[in-house]
Amino acid sequence: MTRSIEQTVQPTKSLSHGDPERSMPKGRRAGFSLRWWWIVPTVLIVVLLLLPSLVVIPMSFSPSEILTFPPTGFSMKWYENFIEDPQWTKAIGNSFAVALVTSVFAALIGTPAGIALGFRRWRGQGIVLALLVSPVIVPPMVIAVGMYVTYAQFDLTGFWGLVAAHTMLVTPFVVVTVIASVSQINPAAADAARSLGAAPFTVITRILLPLALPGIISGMLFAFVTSWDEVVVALYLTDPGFKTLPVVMWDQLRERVDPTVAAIATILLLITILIMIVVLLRGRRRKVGN
Amino acid sequence: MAIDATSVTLRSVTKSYGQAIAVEGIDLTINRGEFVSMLGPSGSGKTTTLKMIAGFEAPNSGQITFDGDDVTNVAPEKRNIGVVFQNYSLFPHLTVGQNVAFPLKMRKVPAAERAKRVADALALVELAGYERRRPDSLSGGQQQRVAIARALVFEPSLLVMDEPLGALDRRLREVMQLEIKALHERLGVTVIYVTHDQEEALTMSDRIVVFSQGRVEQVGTPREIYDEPATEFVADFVGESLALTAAWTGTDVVAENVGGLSIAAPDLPTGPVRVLWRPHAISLEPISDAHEIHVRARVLTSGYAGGVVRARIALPTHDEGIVSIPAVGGDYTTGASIDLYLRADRAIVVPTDGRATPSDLEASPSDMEASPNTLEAFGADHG
Amino acid sequence: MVTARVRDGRSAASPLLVMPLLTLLAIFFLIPLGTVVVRSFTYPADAGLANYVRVLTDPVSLQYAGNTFRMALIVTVLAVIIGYFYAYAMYKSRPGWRIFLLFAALLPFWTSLLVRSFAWTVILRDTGIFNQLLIGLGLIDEPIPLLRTSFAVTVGMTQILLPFVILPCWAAMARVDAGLLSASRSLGAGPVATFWRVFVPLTAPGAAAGAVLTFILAVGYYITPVLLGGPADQPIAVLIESAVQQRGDWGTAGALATLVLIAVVLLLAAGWGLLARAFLSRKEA
Repeated sequence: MTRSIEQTVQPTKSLSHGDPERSMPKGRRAGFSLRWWWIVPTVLIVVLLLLPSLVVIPMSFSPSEILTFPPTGFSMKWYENFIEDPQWTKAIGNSFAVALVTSVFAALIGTPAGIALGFRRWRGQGIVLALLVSPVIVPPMVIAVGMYVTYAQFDLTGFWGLVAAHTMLVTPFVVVTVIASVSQINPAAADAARSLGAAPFTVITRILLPLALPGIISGMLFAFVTSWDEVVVALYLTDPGFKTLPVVMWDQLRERVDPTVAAIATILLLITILIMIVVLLRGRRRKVGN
Repeated sequence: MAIDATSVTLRSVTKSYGQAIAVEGIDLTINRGEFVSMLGPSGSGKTTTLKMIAGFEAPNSGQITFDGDDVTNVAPEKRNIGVVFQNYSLFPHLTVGQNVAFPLKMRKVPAAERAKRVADALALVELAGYERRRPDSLSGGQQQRVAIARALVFEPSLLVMDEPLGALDRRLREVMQLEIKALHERLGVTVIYVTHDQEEALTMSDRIVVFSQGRVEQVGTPREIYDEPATEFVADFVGESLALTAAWTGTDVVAENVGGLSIAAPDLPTGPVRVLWRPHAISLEPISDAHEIHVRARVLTSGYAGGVVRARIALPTHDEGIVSIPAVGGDYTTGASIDLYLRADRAIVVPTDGRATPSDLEASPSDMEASPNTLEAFGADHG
Repeated sequence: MVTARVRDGRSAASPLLVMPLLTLLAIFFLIPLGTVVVRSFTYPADAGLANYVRVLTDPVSLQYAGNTFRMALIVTVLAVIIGYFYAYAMYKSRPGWRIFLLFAALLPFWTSLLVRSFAWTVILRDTGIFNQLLIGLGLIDEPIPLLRTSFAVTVGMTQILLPFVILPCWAAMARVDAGLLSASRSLGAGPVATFWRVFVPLTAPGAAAGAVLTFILAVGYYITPVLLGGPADQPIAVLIESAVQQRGDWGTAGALATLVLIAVVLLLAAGWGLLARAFLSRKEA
């Protein structure tokens, strides 16, 4: 349809999404058809999606060791427990260090690959891409076992072992997000740069990198979070002297239910929500800017 | 194909989106079998009107009837209208044959008859044998033919076309214009044709409806629209013309630095007017016995346009205009003076409407919805 | 990698730029995987195909394989049905609600997998919210044992994998040309026929991509089945883990891992086109 043609008189264009029911004559024009068989399942799915993330909040303030819901009182002791127990604080520090170094490495090696794959077409590209993203697809247990036996032969365990492993696991996110942003770049921009005297390297640093930056940043964010949350490979590559947060959590959860986990989860959840709000707002502003 | 054409009537149809009024008080009658173009710049309400006729939008007030039956709130699928869209809107997941068969399937036409009618419809648009092709393997012109076949195969009583040739290049557009015209003559179907291209509207239509700012500016045959524009807008939008700013005093039309033109505009109230001449009423030398108005114009810029020189000129009335001058002899370079003789009996006098000269440039279709960036959320969970 | 001689701006993005990543991937990822495969034939030294014969005839490992694929299939089907519905609800919503629904779909993505699995144990156990709710509503008198059942694993994994279906479905829906829906209506198809004959076929690739991804990821799941499932729900990953950690049996672990790897590679090869289209959404040159 020629939606564009009437755009000056259709400020509500984004509402008329071409949905079959909404393009119907009056009476059914509501943005969301308020029928129970739409609303009820949608609300249930929202509950399904959010419940596990949110249920930890009341749990973390529960005074009893055996978690009850609704909580029988209010207590900060799990937060105190978390702050005072060096096992937890050390693990958080370790996880943060691994995730940070990992996401930087991922950006360093993932960005050039994303540029090569996203900005240009060449033969064998599909296979290379499949290979590069395979660490996300291959079951973590298979990867973990393989890395465990291989890395051990080179004494590559603890911090650097985990960094090496996680860099492999999370770089695909940088590659994919960089491909996405680079493939939106008009090749004419690079042609123009070359015609204006820029060498290929300059084209990359002055044109492609700045334009790929949003992709690199969101890729690093994924990389960070994925490394931060990774359990299975970490279980194999960490040792008693160097444990990451998910490993400590896993140990705790297998033995007994420790509400300290809920306290940590609540803190992480709040940080996550803050980041998401920032990202969503930034995304909206970018859209408006266009 | 036997088509039982319908007539269409709009009675004070108004449509607004929130605060913005898209069309207001449209009254229009389209006769059975007629080819009517809706012409206007972008945002003039022509596409909104078409959407209401097709049933994609419902008017806020007013009534739409087909052959006298009220269809104002009838769903589009129950109106039996063939619609041809600007970007073809062929279903990419279906073959050409399946696309054309789609409306027949919806009408539960038996398979054998369906196949025959699909073949007939494709033959009609000279694409016989293309049934198994994919729409994306066809050229733009071919895709538009498929879209026309699909819109005609179920023998609709009304064919509605929304800038159907807008995406084609000029040569192909001219070919398709004649083909659509021929189809119309052959099938006798009522056609409503939306376009922003005045030449297209003039060439194809029995009648033209000129839209501007959500209202119908003028309805008439191409000749009426061209020779007797009712408003300054219509005169400017349809066809080339040279215009002078002037004033109607009640006894004569007077222009600054030119004086009385000895033209009468008895139907108009006194006040500012525009006086326009079509190219055939302008000459470089006094040639006729008829009364001619002589003005001396100055060339601002000019360019050779194949056989003619197109020059932007400044008139003594401080108006500017563009004229095409046969490219033989004469000095038409910047700064040169040229004498123009304007035939008084062919002058068109319209009231000044104070609106900016319309541009027939369409906004580029850049309102693609921003698609969600799936990657923003492509997180990983390792179990 | 055959490189055409290009001198335009694109030549800046030389295919050689993938080499650092490819090299590191070979050393730190492919060699470890290769080692696992090699060990399946060489542990013990004269193993040959013996590990495979044993694994493929062992009723225990077959049962675990069955658990894995059955669960992956159930979770995929559920996730596709629920996820497509949810994405369609997003599609039909007003922009404000749409952002909320997108937020709700993304939040779990960013919440630790461990924490979510742990939260499900709290929700589903005998004294958990779910049983309390059912008792409170008078639907049941005694708590139903939900934890350590297939139900718990199904719910937990579906919840965790749902965003992988919702996002490609939503992306496909957002790309649907509204004109096609109008065209369908004008050609005589009502809203229902338009949905099934035009909207669904146009968005099916997105749903299929989500399904492929969900299935592949579900096959590799370990944490969630272990925390939420009973003995009959344990996946192959558990067998691999116990072969390595408890028995040091690298041959069995290697053979199991290799078979899983082959399955995943086959699935990936089958679904690659769909995945690349849905998740990379690249403009054609």
